[in-house]
Amino acid sequence: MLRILDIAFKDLLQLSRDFKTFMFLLIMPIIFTFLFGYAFGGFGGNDSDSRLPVGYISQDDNWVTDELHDLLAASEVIRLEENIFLSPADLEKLVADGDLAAAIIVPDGYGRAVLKNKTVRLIVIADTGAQAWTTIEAELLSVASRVDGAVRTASIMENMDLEGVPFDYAFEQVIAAWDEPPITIHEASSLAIDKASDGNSGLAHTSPGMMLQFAIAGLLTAAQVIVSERKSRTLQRLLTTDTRRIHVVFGHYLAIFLLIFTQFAILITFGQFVLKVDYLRLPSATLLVAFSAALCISALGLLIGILAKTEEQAVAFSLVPMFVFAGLGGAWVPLEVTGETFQAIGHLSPIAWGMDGFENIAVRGLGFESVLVPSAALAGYALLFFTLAVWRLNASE
Amino acid sequence: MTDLPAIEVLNLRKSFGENHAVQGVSFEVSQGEIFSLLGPNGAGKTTTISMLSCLLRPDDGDARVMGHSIRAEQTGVKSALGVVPQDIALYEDLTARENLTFWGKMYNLRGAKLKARVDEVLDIIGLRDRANERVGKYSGGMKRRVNIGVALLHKPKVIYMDEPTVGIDPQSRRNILDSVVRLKDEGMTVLYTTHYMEEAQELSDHIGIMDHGKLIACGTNDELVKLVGQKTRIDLTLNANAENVMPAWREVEGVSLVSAEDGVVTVLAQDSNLVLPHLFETATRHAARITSVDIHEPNLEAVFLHLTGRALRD
Amino acid sequence: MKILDIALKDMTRSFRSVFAVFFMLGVPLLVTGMFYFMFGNIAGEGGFNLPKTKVAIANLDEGGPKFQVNPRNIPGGKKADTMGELVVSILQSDEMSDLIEVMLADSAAAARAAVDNQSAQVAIIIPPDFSDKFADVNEDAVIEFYQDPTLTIGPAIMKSILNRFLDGMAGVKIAVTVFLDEADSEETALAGQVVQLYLKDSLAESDDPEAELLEVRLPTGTTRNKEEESQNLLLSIVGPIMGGMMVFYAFFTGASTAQSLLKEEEERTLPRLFTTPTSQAAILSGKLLSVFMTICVQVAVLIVAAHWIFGIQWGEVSSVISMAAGIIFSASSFGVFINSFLKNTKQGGVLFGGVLTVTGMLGMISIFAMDSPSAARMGETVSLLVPQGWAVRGLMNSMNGEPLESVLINLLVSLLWSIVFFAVGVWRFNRRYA
Repeated sequence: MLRILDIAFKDLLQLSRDFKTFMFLLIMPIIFTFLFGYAFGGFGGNDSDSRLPVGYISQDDNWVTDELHDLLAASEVIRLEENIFLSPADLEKLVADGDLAAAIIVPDGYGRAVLKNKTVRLIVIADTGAQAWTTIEAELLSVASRVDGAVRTASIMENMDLEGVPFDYAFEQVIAAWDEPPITIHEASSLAIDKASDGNSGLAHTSPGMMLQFAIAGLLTAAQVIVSERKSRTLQRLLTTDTRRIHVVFGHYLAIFLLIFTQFAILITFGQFVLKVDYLRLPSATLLVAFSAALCISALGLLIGILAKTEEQAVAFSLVPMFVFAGLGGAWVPLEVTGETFQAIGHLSPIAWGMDGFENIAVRGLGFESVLVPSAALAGYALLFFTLAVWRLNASE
Repeated sequence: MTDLPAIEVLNLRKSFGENHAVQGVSFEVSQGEIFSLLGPNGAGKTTTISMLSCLLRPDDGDARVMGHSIRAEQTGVKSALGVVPQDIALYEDLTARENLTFWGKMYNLRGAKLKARVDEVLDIIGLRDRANERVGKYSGGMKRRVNIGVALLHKPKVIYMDEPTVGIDPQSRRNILDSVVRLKDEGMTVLYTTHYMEEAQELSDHIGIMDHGKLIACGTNDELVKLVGQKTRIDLTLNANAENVMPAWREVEGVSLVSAEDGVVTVLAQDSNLVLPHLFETATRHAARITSVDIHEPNLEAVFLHLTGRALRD
Repeated sequence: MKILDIALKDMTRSFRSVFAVFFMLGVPLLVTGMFYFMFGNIAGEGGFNLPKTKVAIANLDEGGPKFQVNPRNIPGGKKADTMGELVVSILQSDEMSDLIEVMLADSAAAARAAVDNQSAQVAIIIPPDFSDKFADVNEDAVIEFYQDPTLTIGPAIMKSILNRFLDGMAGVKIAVTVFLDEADSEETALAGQVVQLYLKDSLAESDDPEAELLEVRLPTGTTRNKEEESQNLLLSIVGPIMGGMMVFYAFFTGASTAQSLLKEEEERTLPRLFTTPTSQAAILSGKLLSVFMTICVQVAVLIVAAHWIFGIQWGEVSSVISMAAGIIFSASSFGVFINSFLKNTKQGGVLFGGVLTVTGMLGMISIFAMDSPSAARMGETVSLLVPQGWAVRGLMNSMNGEPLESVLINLLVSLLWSIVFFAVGVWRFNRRYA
């Protein structure tokens, strides 16, 4: 046991002697979690408008059209971009270039046609294949339906000859009633997200993924110690002492584990207090996931260190799994868009299990039992990588 | 051959901070001879060679290689020079042929002439049949042969060999020493650095002994040995009474020096055959017994010891 | 000539390494292939065929006395005795079956539990008094929408569907409410008539309200072919990823190849080179040329392979050449620059891995978070602090068919970066070997 500690201590001493490397291991993941969190929209939109930009030109001059315009302008989903110098052709080009998500052209006579209950349509220029179109379409239909509904209601009331209720008044009342719709959807989610301040829910998705991804990136330094040991022939020398092979392996493993676990601890603390992701909602559960993930990633680092013949190979062998596991596991693109087959394939990546574990606690607000399966999966991966590493070491030395 | 010295070293100096690696070294090497620089590790041999190869700029002094100054005419120096570095300096992922071809190009050989010369060198180093294998797969001895071969490609007038036999097996060592002699036979001048006295003695026309950055002696083997007066060194061990025996030995005719260190009494004498019986007799008279005798004929080890007070291998 | 000899020698060594070739060419194609497979799998006819959103519905509605739902007003003519049943029948209709998969839950807790244990993505909980409150003009009816917080797309689609339907129902109630607010007491009995007239005239009866309300046109040049649309969508995701990988790994190749200077120093072949009548300038130039040529080969192969394997359209030829030149020059110069600060290859293993990973990721942020406006902003700001950011920008401009001028501007900036990096790198190396 003492030998294991001696070897682990030696490795950590070597790593810590290179201050720049050490800082890189700790600082880089923090910086990138921050940057990517922002990139994924994690810091709220208080000072920026994340609504979809939609161009608007009205060729009609009618109060109904004005009402339509006011409703669109008040939308929480789309942001009207109006420029009197732009023509429909200009708007079309902006949509084609991707500068606008869509463009609305209210044709001449729109308002009159609506009032006469005639079929009339808003002209919308959009790439219907784009993901944003679904959202835009829903919003436009909602607004247009409301205007249509208001006209219908006002028409009915006008036809009923209600005293003191002119058409436009009834119309205004209907539109105003939509400010507090009589049927609403109350959106609820896990307690964990509800606790988080507005706009930071984005980070609840990115933080675990980035944390796991950069823990693997950190292996490119952690594995160097083992590579250097083999290159300098000190590993071979170590094997001529009465230190058992398994002690050598465990010693290196322990060093990498302590490094990765420390990294997780720092990132979880950072996530909790700076990014406001509620990792510590259930500390024991988060600890278990972090522990298992560290076991898994450290075993991967051990395997990389043993496989790589040079420092350059260690870098390459760290980056390839980082990209592949992160991509497969949904750290960049959510697995929800990929279908059941690929979601299953995605869970071949330990990152997917790690994300499940952290998200179950910090995002879904679930209990301790929800991290048992992900932790077990991570531990299984740890065992697999560790076994491969030992086998490889025995084969090569 | 002309009278132009192959190598002329004029008061070369080089320091690295407080470490004065080479301090005012001067010597001359005639064309067609083998000149050895002998000295322990850290004596300044490699630094001197590096300056002579234009790898290091001297702090002071100059040197000429085939008349070209190392300060002002580096291209001329490098064209006349072939260098066999101490470490294997080859591209292990290239074949022997590819290595030689590349290095030949660096020595301005091209086309058919290069190809012919590469074949010739492969024959010289005896690796023609394995020329298309990667150097990384060669044994240590084979790598050393290619290492030497590279230096021969452009048929240099002068060749530097920096401790070429360090860390290799006796057979390979023998092959290298033989090849050095062959080079001389072909008219090449060889500047050979070593810390093995036997090599210097065997190969060299002239030897320069370096220590602590200085050239402390220079000459033929015989001339250097004469510095210690061609005295024979006899190392003896006694079972007792060394302190009584030693003064008596000093009185023996033919003995010039008696000293003791670590239980070994060293006697310098003109002729060991004449002196030894008297040493035994004197010891017996003083109730002492000689338990071992080691006789060393005059050699460079003795010279170094004489000049520095230390053994060459210390 | 010697410069070329040295460059070719280095390139021979590089391309003889299976590992190096795999890293240069195999990995970018592998990662991109993975994403191609991920998204190609679900790209169907016109847009993505997203997997169905699983919805757990707990209909607890006990019904309301005043509201009678006319089956004629329910799509598909389904019968519903309560508003809750109406909602459920709409969601279970054939029209919805492509988008959602409904499972019924006995209670609110069971519905929420289905989301918590990830057997459903959304839970819709219709409260017991839903019909009652709907019928009461003074009350608002609320449906609880409980979603898996880690998901965005499925719940967004579900919410959109539900909102549209509830909007229709709300429209009816608003019509009645406004009528009752304005009508005299003796006119209030006409409320039912208002509902009938409203439903008759409104779009609630329409089979295709979208077509009635909106005339949708595609921007000029956009294909109407559904298969091409889905392919375009796929490439719009996979293309930037491939480009990003190409940039990322080109910079790695640059640094790795430039490291040959340090390697040769350690192998002792560099000092040997200096003993030959080959000038230091020629030696250094040869090494730099090898870096440049290696990356040229890498970028050319990747551009061609990605186009051939994945069908990625890199843009007009002139733009592609400009974009590629920007990548090649900046990657090779950056590699030289970084290596000039290293003492030995041992430092390189970590330093260039760390520096290149950090700068590479920074440059690729806008690719990692493609649909995010924040990421797009970062792509125009933070990413441009590193040469990879400019390379990615040039790449995206070319792929998006931007005018050649904008691609050339990126090339120009990349060249400026390159000049600085080369100058500093060469100066440092010259000083080192002086």
